[in-house]
Amino acid sequence: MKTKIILLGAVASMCLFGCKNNNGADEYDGDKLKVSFRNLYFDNYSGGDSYIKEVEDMFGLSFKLEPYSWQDWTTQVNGHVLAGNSPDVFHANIDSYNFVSYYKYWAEDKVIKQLPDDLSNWPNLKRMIDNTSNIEALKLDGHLYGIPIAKNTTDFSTSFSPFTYLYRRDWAKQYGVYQENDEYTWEQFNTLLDKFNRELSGKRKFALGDVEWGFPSITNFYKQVPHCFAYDETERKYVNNYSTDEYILGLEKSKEFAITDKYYSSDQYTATEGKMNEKYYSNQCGVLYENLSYSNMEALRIQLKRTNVNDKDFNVDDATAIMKIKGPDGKYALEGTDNWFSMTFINNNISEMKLNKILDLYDWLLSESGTNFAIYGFEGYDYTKDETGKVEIVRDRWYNDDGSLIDRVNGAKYLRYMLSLGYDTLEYDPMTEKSVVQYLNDWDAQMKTALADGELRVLKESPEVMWLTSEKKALHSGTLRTNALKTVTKYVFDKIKSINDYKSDRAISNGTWDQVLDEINTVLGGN
Amino acid sequence: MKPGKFLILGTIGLLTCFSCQEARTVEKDFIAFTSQDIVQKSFGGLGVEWGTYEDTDKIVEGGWERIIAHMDHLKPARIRLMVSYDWFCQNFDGKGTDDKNDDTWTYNLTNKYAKNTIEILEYCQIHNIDVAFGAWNVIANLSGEDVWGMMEEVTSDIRWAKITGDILDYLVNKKGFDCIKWFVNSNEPNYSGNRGSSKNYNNTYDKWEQGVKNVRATLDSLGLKSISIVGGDTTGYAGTEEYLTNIARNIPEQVGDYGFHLYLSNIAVDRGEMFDQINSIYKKVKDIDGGLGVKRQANVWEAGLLDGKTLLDCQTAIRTGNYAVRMVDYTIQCLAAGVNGVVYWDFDDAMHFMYTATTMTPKEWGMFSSLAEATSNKQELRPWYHSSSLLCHMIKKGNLIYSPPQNDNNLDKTFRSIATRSQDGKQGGFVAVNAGLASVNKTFYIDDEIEGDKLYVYIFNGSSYRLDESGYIIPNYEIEGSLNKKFTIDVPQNSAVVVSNERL
Repeated sequence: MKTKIILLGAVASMCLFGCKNNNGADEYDGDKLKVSFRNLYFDNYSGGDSYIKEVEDMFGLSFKLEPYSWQDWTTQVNGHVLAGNSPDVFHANIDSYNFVSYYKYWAEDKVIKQLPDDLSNWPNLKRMIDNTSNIEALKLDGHLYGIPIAKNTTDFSTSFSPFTYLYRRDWAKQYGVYQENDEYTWEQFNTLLDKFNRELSGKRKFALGDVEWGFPSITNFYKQVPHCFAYDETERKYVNNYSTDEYILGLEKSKEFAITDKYYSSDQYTATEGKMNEKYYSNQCGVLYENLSYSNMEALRIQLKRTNVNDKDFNVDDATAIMKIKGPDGKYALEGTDNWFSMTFINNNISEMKLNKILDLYDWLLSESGTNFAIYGFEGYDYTKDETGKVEIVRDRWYNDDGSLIDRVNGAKYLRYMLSLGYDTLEYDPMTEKSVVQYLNDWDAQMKTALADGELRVLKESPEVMWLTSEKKALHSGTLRTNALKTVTKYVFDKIKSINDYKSDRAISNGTWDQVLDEINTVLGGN
Repeated sequence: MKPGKFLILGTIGLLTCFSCQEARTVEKDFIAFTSQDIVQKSFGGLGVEWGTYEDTDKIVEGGWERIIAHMDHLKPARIRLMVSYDWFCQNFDGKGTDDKNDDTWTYNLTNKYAKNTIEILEYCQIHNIDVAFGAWNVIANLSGEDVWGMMEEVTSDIRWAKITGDILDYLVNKKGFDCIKWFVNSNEPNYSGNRGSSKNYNNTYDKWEQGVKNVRATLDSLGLKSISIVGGDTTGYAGTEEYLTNIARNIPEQVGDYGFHLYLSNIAVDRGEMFDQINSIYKKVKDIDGGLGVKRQANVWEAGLLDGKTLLDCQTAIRTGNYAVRMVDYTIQCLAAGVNGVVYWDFDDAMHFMYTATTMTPKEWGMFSSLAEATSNKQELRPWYHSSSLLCHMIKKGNLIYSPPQNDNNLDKTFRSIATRSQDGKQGGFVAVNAGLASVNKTFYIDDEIEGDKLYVYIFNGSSYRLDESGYIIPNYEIEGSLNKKFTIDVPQNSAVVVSNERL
């Protein structure tokens, strides 16, 4: 699909995406303007609760809400874009590698609507966008065509991702390889994997699994940058990351873990999205590399508790401990990040009135009252405020009579996910497990300290190359990365035997790589 | 009762009713059920979803006997029984042509799905339980193998009506299950979902309507005119309104009722909002089809609460007394708003599962679990089984339903009640819910004569209800008295009270 788009991009002046010009064709449900939203974070939410109805009434809108599936998100987005039947608002994974092949073409082909240059009518939205890292890189001719979804709307400082290792601390203790405070040197980490492997193999269990998009995570401890373009300080130019000495070291270690040591399961080679996660919560995997966002952590904990419901000694904290591993260089290694992930796009076909109503809704969702409604619900029913404005939840509305927290469905919270992942609300959201939030915050604080002390290496491409949209890079970098990763996986699982064969593989070494790198170095003034 | 019928007089809780002939003043805390308050002259009945078990092998040893015992005690007036045609249809041959008329297939009506379906139908036939029989959706493999090519036309595909006719001809004409009163023309047709996860992703109202017409014609040709088609079986207010108003305009005579599913927020129940919302839809449909409430009734075919629903499609609140009380409140509001029958979702956790490529996870929405894998506390009867059994026993099919003016949300958003009486006056009672945060003192009285000199009082919340040695609910107390005399009681917060002239 992506290749097709890129090829068509050569004639980008044509309408490529099944454009339908039905501007102003607003439809109403009674007196409410119909608006369709599709977002990954809706999960299986489809509306119907009183909270969403209240928002509909408040803004005179009637919502149609649809989720994407995690497995097919990009395919589903491309499906409706190419068919010309995108919802009014949709959600896409935009990164520097697909920026041009998706975002730029969608804007040029009028699939997505330009946001007003002047957002002063929507001050909360404006504030969030203004605080988006690399926001200028997301503008085309000075205009913005989508809303980057902020991780946190109060603290915009983010430098590293929580992509790291969870492990079975309970097993580590049982096998005598536990280290105090879950802190492991590289040697201790290797020792633990070896012990786990010896204890688990033969029981349809294994020591190490990586979330599929993060494989092979072991390279993080060696490589300079997460993806394609590393900077060679000696040569003073950008080079192919996948053939640098550092990457090759990481690759060899990964292969050792997969083939010689068998720490990785052979299932990792063909694992589809979610498979390793499933192995972990099924008690089949000892260490898991994953994106440890609160929601992922919560989901894993729920599943683990479910799996181990009959084990009275099971302690979910000990089954979801974060492992802090220092690599061979004695430093932690984490992938760098921006303060946003993915973007919300508005269909170019909608009327200006509908656009304004959507922006009104968005601004409210980011306001104090909107955030309060998304987190607490109805004042007087779900919560009260004292004279100082302090919120007090009405316990009977949040807890069952057996003392358990009610899994409340508040549609406004889902709507807010179109703008923010809500890291800023976790600490006071009554629905979150505070000890888990605190645990993640403690880990974050420890890593920030490590960063300040020079004990954390953050892997991040330089913004100058990451968001560079030169012609050849724009055209080829996404494919180069995808193909390189396939070859990396083949090498790790010995489908490609020798490192020379790896290095000379067409995905790692070819004329296109050379052309793209030459262009980058020329544009950025390298050799 | 219609909104706007009463006028609030100040803060002391007095209302004036301007009904047809005379103004009526009512007190907030004195609830007199009179003939003016009759909102239903022949109630359709309460029931539960009891569908074909997707894997009977997962039922605990001795589980079926317990299932039957619990059904014996629940005594529903109706059930909804959904099947999957994929279970029965095999040996498909498309003949390599695009013409669906020449497609052939065979039926396997002896496998474990068919056996279980027949077991359930035999029970219903013997126990005089009305059955809404239906199929979840068209034949297809969600992983993308649309071998039959049915996902394009969905239920308007001519083979849908053919299969439906063949199956119902077998069950009713050949096996004699005339307990089947309705056919459900696919589950929640307005919820399209996404390609890859829903067989219904391509559906529209028009396709569904064509499917109804095809099925109706097929059933008529087979002499199955007594089977009505559920008009909608939709989910959510917006989709329900869309489908029901279209049905009322286009095919009112081809459907047997106006049916929908309601999964609601706690707040919608607690503050009485669902009563107003159902009233609103009811009125819109009635304005188009005057036959609503006369020739065709409104039914809720799946009843449940939204808060507590997890991503794995389980309801975590079902184990609580709160869920039970809210479902009583839910029932009161439905019946007061003119809904003629309510079917609770659902009977047993063991019936339905959520599937991934490698796992099947039970959808825990039941009144108990008969799964072998279920922990012992999940196998026990849950509070809402007991509250539902009280309602099923007392609010019988054919009864009158009374809804007093105090149910008007303008007067009190957190207290509601209804009364019921058999046509012959031999049986009856009332049920009330206090959804507020404080206890209230109320006096009740039924004006129309009901026999009996003893009252059985059930006070229901998470901690107050009593069970007998068999684990079924018993009255909190019995007193000498009559429903035709004033009866005063403190209704605790978040509690239901049921008072009957029969032991339930």
